[in-house]
Amino acid sequence: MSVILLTLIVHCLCTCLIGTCLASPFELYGVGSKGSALANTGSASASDYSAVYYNPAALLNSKSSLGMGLSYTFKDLEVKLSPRPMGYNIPDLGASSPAVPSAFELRTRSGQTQATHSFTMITGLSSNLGTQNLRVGFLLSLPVYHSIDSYPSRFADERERLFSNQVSFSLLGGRVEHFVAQVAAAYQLGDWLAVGIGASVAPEAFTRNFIYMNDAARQDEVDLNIGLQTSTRWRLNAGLLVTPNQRFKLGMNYRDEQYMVIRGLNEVQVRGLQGSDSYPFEQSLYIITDYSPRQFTYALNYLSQNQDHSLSLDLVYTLWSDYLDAHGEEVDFTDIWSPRLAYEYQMLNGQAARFGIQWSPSPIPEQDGRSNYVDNDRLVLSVGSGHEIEIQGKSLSLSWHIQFHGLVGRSHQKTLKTDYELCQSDTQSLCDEVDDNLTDPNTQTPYPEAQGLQTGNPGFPGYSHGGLIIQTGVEVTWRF
Amino acid sequence: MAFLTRDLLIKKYGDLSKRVNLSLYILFYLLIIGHSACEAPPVPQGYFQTQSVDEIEAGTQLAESAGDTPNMSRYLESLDGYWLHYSQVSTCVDIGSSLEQINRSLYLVKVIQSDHGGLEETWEACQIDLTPVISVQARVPDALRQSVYPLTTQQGILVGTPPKPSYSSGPMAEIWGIRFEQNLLDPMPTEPDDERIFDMDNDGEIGVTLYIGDTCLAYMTQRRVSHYQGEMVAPDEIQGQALSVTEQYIIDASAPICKTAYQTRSNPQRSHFNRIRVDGLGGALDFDQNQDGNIDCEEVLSQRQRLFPSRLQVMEVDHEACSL
Repeated sequence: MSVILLTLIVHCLCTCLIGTCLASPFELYGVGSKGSALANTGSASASDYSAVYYNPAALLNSKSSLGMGLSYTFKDLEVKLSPRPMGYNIPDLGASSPAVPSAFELRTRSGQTQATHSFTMITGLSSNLGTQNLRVGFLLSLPVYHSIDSYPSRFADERERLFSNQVSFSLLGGRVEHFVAQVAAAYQLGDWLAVGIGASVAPEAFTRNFIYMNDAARQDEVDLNIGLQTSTRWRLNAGLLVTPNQRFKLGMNYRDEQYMVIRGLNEVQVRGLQGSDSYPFEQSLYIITDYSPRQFTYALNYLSQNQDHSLSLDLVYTLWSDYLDAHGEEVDFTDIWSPRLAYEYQMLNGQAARFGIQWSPSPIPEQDGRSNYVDNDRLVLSVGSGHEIEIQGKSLSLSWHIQFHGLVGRSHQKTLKTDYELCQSDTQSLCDEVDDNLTDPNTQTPYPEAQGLQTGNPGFPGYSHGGLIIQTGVEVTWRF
Repeated sequence: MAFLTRDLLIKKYGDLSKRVNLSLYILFYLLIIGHSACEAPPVPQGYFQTQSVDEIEAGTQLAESAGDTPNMSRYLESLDGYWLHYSQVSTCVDIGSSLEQINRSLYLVKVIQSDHGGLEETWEACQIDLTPVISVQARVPDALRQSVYPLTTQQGILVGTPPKPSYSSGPMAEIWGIRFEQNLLDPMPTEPDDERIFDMDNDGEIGVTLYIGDTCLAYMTQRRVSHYQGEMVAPDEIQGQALSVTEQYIIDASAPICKTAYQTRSNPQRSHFNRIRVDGLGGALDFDQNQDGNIDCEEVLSQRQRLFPSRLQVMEVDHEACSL
């Protein structure tokens, strides 16, 4: 009862006090081959350095471990765009054009069709430091080979037309291939209760640039000095592990949001403006990348009497509603529950077969308005095995896994209306980029091309998406 | 290293291999099914039909084709009546480069001519457009326009005899946000607390408010002195040169960038005006839609297509014209 109460209190406190996150490779695929084969469960059952991520308190499940793994990911993610009907392009109105005409777009409107690959290496360590009740550990994920679809920042609406002009996956693909570092410590408070605390680390950058423009009409000719400062951003990862008896374990974990922030300030001097209040003027920069949302995990692990069957159930609550996109703009995502079920069969001599299934609903609602976020419900099936060999009383295990992420196909259509508001920074619905009242100076009449809806939104009038991800990997773990 | 011998490995992992192999078969089967099941569904065609501008264009062409051509065949005794005066005044803005900005103003002018040729002209600005400078567009709000106009000048004169009498408007001072004793001679304010500055457009902000771009407001005062000089090229039309000088004092702005007063130069070589009679007298265009004997800006703006481009042509920006 006290555990449930404590859990609720911690949940409420964290929900009330702390803010947002985007998927990390651990959140999407798991840590190591064991965790990945077991459907990314582990808050109660992790038994090596992977507990640094799953639940720091679970570091008490084992003594010391050192491991390294390599995973390969194949992503066949597809976004298909509906054909654009005639008459909605941004017209070329010469100097009067309120937006860059469609004819001058640098890149062709596109979806996402190309399959991509990536390699990631992980390594981790946990140690008891020669004590009975204390554990410490660290965990590192390093992208070895990036997908070609890794984009640092994008707009999710018509503004992207002038950049990539592409509709692409928002929370999957290359965006999750980034550096992750975590540290943790755990302490056994009593026979049945262990607590753990840790942190994830993300880089933070501040750039201050000094720009001089000799001719405001020649913006390709500037003198530029760049200043760059980097630091780190630490975020909490904490958990509890309750072991009422030898056969049951209960785990609860909280992970704070984590992301990389790039802040910047450009100081711009333009000759001709000297002596005015706007000399120099400043441009601010605020970009968020590698965003991982806050998560609460509630986990149960059951071990059979002979300790040969193990069943794990993790319920992960992810607070996507706090999500900030790359430009720090809030979006209309919903919080989700993701159930994960895993089964492990331990045979003689440390051999193990592992199976898992996971359901991960998408936090992204129907995209019938201005934005074009892309994400699917995912069904994840996983399988793997472990092979443990004793060497001089210590254990060396080799594990492998393969995961199959099936993305449930999904379609979006922009809402048809009789009147569209002009695009403003806070506009939520599909919006018009050319004012119907725009007047031709030659005829003093409204431009016919400006009547009705004109939008360069790459997701207009609709799109569909789906695909699959296959991840496989191997891991070597030394328990000592 | 006995544990690495082949027999031992088979013994150790044989059972496991069977189970894993079965699992792999199942997984492979699921992959085959899943791959087709997880493909992106066919794209929706969308609710949007082809949007054609043909009808609108047809309407415009109809209006354009209806653009009246001058059919006035004789000179009247005086200029009395309503005229549309379209001025395009070029100014060079120096921001590193010299860029051209054109002020396009459409005035409705009511003229009363005295026997000796002197003109009393009442100017109503129906529309004032400023071309953008480096994509920044300044706009004159209606409230400002309505607070400045109408203006009356009495220095105009028409001299000579048909077919080409000469016209001079005399100086016309358009004053924004200041009370001068002598409109042409008093110095411009240099301090925001100058007592002569007042809230002319009644928007609660000192001086007048000009929109700069989409989000910025400049609170300012301005004096623009213009002089139009030309000749009658037809019984219902006067063409000529516009001489114009503008002085500004920006008191404050909603953003620092809008408080900048750029250096400007008049560009008389590219400053022109056209004036067309629109009261129907002598067979001229008749913009008096309601036939009440008066013409207002509403009537003018609703019939713009009768003027552009058949009678009045717009001069495009040419930055080269500002090169020193």
